[in-house]
Amino acid sequence: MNPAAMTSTRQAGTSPTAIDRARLLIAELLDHGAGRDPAMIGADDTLSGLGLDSLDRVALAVAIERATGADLADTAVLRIQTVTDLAGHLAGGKA
Amino acid sequence: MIKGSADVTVAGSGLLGLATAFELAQRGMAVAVVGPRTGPHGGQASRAAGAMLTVFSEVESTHPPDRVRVEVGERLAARAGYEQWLAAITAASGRSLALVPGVWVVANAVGADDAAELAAIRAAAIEHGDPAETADPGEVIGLAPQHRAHQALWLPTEASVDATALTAALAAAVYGHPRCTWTDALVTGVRESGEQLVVAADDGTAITCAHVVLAAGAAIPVVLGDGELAEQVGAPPLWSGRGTSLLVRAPFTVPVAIRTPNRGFACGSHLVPRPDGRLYLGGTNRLSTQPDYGRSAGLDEIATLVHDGGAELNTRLREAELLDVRVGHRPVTTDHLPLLGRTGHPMVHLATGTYRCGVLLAPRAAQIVADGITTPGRHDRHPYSPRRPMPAPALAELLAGSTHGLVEMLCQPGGQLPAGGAERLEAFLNAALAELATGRTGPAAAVQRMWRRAPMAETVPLLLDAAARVS
Repeated sequence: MNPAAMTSTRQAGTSPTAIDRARLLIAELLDHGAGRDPAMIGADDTLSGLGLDSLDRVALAVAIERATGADLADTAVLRIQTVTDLAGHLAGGKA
Repeated sequence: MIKGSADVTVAGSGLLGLATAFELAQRGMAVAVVGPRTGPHGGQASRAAGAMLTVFSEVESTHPPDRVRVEVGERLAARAGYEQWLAAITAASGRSLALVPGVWVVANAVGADDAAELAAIRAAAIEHGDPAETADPGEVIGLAPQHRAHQALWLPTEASVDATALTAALAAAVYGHPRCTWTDALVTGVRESGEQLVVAADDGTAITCAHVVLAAGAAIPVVLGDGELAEQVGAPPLWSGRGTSLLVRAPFTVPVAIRTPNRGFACGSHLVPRPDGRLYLGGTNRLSTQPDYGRSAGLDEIATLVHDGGAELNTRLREAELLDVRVGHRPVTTDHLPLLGRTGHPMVHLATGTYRCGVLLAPRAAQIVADGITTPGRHDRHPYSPRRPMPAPALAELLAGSTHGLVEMLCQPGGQLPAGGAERLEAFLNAALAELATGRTGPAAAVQRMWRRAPMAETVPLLLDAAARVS
């Protein structure tokens, strides 16, 4: 985890655990399980900048619904821009 | 901020937007176009199009008769005025535009249902009193495939045109028109300001106008945003069929366009003559719910074009020189019909959703949209009205009819299952997809979410990927 990512995690007020879960989820999607280092993914990185496409967003939406047990609207999925936003949803908050 | 005003602002500078701007200017209105004028026009469907004026050959044997009647009727109306429209563009731009009359549709054993598809195309032509002549494939000049064609259909009413030259000539006609202005930038939003609308562009321009025509394809939902105006407009969902095409110089000639029927969710293989002995080879079609206009062609798309073109049209394509690769996004709606004319907001109009038929429909679409501004109410009950109801088909219903195309697509390019293999795989996929359509597992949730987002047959290939990405 790089220091800049840590700083912005604290600023965003999202728990480091949720950020780590978000990183892991993205790393799995990006390499289809081939092992990208989740620590290389910054909290402020954007999902599109990381190379996630619309199908990856579908997978993220399903992961969020499973983590929170609540339905997630498509419009809410489209508003998820950064890793921190994703972590906020995984933690059950509204990013 | 750069301020401007106009009677009508047209957002989008593809063929549909330009055709509408040209039509409105000819009717005496002051028109502001906002959209790319210079640059690569990345992702614009018009410049990547094969531009066959396909009145009948996009008809499929499984299309409901009502849909065929409506679509063929509108295409015929567009075709009837096409030469006159080209002449008007030539007169305004000083650029000559040639139409190459006729299209060959060939049936072969690669498409197991090709005979049925040709029969449906021929029946649609005959029903409308148009010629459709069955011929021996040996008569088709330029056809020399690996998989022998068993039947050819000559459609003299259809034609082809150089889409790049047409778009450039129409752009010149609009740019040079005394009643048109053109902001070479991307439209970023539309808002109400008193009795008027204001269209904003990414170069800081703000144009005040009485009417807005949105002709920016699948970017329209982004332009409208999710505020009050978008709610009043009530635009139906819009996706894009991403298509890749190649421009080549081949060691053989094709005097008129040759194509196979539609297959595997795409428009088959086609070779279309272009000026100076060049050939256009098209076209792939992949649904995209969040189009990335900057993304270049994938090797998989190019491999499919080269393989299928060589196998089904002319084996000597392998010796061709590659001149250009193009990617375009064809705007498409859930019911596959265009969105033309007034929306739920009396000052906001749509000119989009023409999918694989935009080049042919452009002049007709421009008239319908312009009528909505100059003679409101005239097309309120038109089947392409953006205010029509657009019910989504049930997932199970559509999945059942889509596994054949899915297996076809999975075998591209050039893959072959042993005898009986396709039928067994289709039956298995039917059962598996039915489980995913109703199940509660992660992959099932992904499939159902994808389906809710874009409930149409072209989504089915995406469902495979969606299910696979959820562990």
